[in-house]
Amino acid sequence: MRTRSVWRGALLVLVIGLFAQGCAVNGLSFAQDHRVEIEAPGTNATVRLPFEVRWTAKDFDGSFLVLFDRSPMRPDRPLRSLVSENDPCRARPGCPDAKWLDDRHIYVTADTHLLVDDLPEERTNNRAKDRHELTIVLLDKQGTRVGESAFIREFIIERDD
Amino acid sequence: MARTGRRVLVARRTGAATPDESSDEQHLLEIRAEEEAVEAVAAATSRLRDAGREAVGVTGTGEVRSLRETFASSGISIYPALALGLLVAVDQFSTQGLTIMAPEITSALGIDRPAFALVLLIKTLVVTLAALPLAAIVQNRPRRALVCVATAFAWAVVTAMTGFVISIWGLLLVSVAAGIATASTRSVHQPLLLDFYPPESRVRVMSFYRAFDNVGDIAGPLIVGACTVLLDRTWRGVFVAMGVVALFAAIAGSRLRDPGFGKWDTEKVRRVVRADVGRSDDLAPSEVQLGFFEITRRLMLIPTVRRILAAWAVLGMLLAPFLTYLAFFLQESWGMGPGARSLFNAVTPVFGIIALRLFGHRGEELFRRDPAQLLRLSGLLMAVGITLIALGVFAPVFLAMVLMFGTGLAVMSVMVPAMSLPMYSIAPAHMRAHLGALQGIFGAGVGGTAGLLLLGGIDRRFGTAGAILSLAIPGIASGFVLRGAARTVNTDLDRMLDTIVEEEEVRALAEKGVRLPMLACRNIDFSYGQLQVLFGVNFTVDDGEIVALLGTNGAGKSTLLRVISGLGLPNRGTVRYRGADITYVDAERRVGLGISQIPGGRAVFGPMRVVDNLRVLGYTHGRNRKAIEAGIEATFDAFPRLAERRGQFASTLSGGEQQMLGLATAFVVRPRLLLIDELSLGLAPVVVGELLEMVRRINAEGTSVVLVEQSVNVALSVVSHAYFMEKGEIRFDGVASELLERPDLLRSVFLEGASKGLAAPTPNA
Repeated sequence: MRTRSVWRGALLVLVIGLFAQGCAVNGLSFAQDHRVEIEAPGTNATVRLPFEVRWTAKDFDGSFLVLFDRSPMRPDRPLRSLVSENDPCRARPGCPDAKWLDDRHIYVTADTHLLVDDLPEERTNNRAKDRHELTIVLLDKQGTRVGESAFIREFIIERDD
Repeated sequence: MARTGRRVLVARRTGAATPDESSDEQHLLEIRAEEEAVEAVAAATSRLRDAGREAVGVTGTGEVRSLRETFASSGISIYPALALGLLVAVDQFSTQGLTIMAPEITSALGIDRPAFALVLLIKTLVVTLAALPLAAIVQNRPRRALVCVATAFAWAVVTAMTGFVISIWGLLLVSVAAGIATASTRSVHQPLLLDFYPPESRVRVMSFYRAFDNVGDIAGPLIVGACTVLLDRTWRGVFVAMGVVALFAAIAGSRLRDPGFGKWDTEKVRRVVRADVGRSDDLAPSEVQLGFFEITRRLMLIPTVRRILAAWAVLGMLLAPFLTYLAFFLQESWGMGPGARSLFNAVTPVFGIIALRLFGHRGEELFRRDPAQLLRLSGLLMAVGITLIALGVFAPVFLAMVLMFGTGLAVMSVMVPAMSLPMYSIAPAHMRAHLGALQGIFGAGVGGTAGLLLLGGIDRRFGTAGAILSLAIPGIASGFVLRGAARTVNTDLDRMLDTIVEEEEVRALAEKGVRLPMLACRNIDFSYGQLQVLFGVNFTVDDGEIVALLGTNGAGKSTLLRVISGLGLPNRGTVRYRGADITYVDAERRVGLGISQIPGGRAVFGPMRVVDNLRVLGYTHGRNRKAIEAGIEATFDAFPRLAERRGQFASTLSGGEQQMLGLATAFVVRPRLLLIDELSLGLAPVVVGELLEMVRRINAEGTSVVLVEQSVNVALSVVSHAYFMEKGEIRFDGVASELLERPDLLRSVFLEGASKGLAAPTPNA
């Protein structure tokens, strides 16, 4: 009986420990962040290549990370976190460089607009629409992600089949 | 005078092993008295079965009282259905939140999309699989209400905690925890509803409960919309809000108390029987209480359950991928974005709520008249629903498409109570949680996975519309499966009732002081796959008796032994041992209860030494080392020939010695009932004589023996009671010497020879 109690206690401690590891109470955003408003493309708007991404920003003087169809790095992590552990880029100083980012359609800019020349197709067949998702997150001057705010917009690219 | 009819529950006293004329006459008188008793029991059982059908709600009339009247006369309220409905309405909040807010969550936490999809998949698997251990928790004690409420509080807290995760590990943890907690809705809710409400209201109550599931489908997206648009909250705020709503639902359900297993049906049937035969409320022996896997296996042996679960798998094949492909279809064919799709998903459940409201009363009528009618309707509904969805793919106008899909999904909603109630009704009350869990595994697990694989290929070739259209094929096939279930449901319902009636009768007999036989097999049917080999077999063995089970090759003798020892489970009938029903108890547990079988051929472990053969069986029996060693030494004292070969490998023994070693295990295990299959096969007469002497000694020490033999002269030299089997049926049950007066049975070549042999005064081989 005593052994069972010990095991139960140990299990409880383990579960609490795991939850404590995966959860937090400070620094979380429960209210929506309106510092960035995406102006173009519009929600579910159809665009043709090349197209312009445009947004407005207030109360923020860092730079912006713009990604298409992928998730950004975790909050408070540098750009380097986007590079996977087994990517050769990691071995190079200054990783990720501009070319690495361009190849993956990831853009870092202090401006509030961007011209996109091309994006890989996301649709699985010609009958489907080529839907994409644009995500903008905030970076500080060292290229580290600021907070967990992310500004998302879905749009469609019309292509000549 | 042979008996081939319904076999007795009452024990008969047979004489010792040596046949004798006066004891035979006495035996015959007893047998005649038994036969009269059997006829009376059969008539009573039939009457009680009819009363039992009425008790479980199948009146044959289709008359339905209003819910208000039913509740008033039964002294129950709407509260349990309302409380469970509220819980099922909020149980999917966590999944809905994760699905709708996926882009925001992955972006905020920096989680890869494949990793996020994996978390959702794991959660689905956990919900499906966790239903089984939850069923195991409630199988022996009626604490389902406690489980419902505790898990509801748990998932409310976990849903709120999802708003505080900071990494994928945190997300995985809360998803698994939510999955485990919400699994209770799969396994426990519907069985609990069935025990809260009397059978005459169940279709309506289950429809009412099911409508709350649709309410949840509407409420989830609405909470997301309200939090993000009106209250300007992030996904974190959404989960906290959902957790708070779920917490209120859990508080609302906290007054639920378990009504006990089968309050309105199986226990009611027992009460009817008790009133008829006048008995008290003794509990079944805990020794033969079925475990989790035994219950699951027993349920899968019910033909109607197998068919309905197969139909569930097809329904899962339709619904799980359909909801995914529907989103793509709406996007591709109608250009609907996420907002419009969410609105569509929030509107279609309204059709389901209306359909469930309309269906309740009609479904109740059908069930009360005949459960088969409800299943036939389910088959029809499946075909209609899938046809409507298929037509929706080609609808030229948006409104027509919404109507087609909405109505099709509404028809599918109605199918849930229409399929579930007949299935739950044919299972004993304490096994229904397992059925709920199996329903989830077959629906979401087997069906959902198969559907996604199937539709993935079709989608690549024919597009999303083609994929949805292709669902019509399994849908219509499933309709036919349900019609098949309709053909067996009444038989299975009667079997369940017969089991309860028999159990109560046996208890009543025991209480009246009637001596019960050690073993009573009743109406045993057994099949190997589709091949039925036993047909309504009745077989009884008394304490201290040696019984011969004779018959031609392939008559089913060895199969009957397998059913008794638990190596084979019957499709129908009961096996009672020392008064308790052990029909579905595991073979290993039966050894512990005192039943051992020596299989045909050489029943030894060839690569092990003689002494180890005896020792290993002792350990199987779970006895302590000293007792085992003492038993082995006693065996060697009794059988010096084995003692001489104690260090030899069993494979090096002669055939007779191996059979002797097999029999010697009985001295170590000391069973109450020993089943010996083909003792004399391939052995010299002198060896057979030695073995028969061993059998007599085993019997003299108090072990009842069933001796399966093809050789009549061998068998009848040690028994006074014999059974003769032919083509899976008992053709003779009576005094051994009478068998020789039945040339119709002894026509087989080997028996003719045996008959000639037995004409001699000394029947020994």
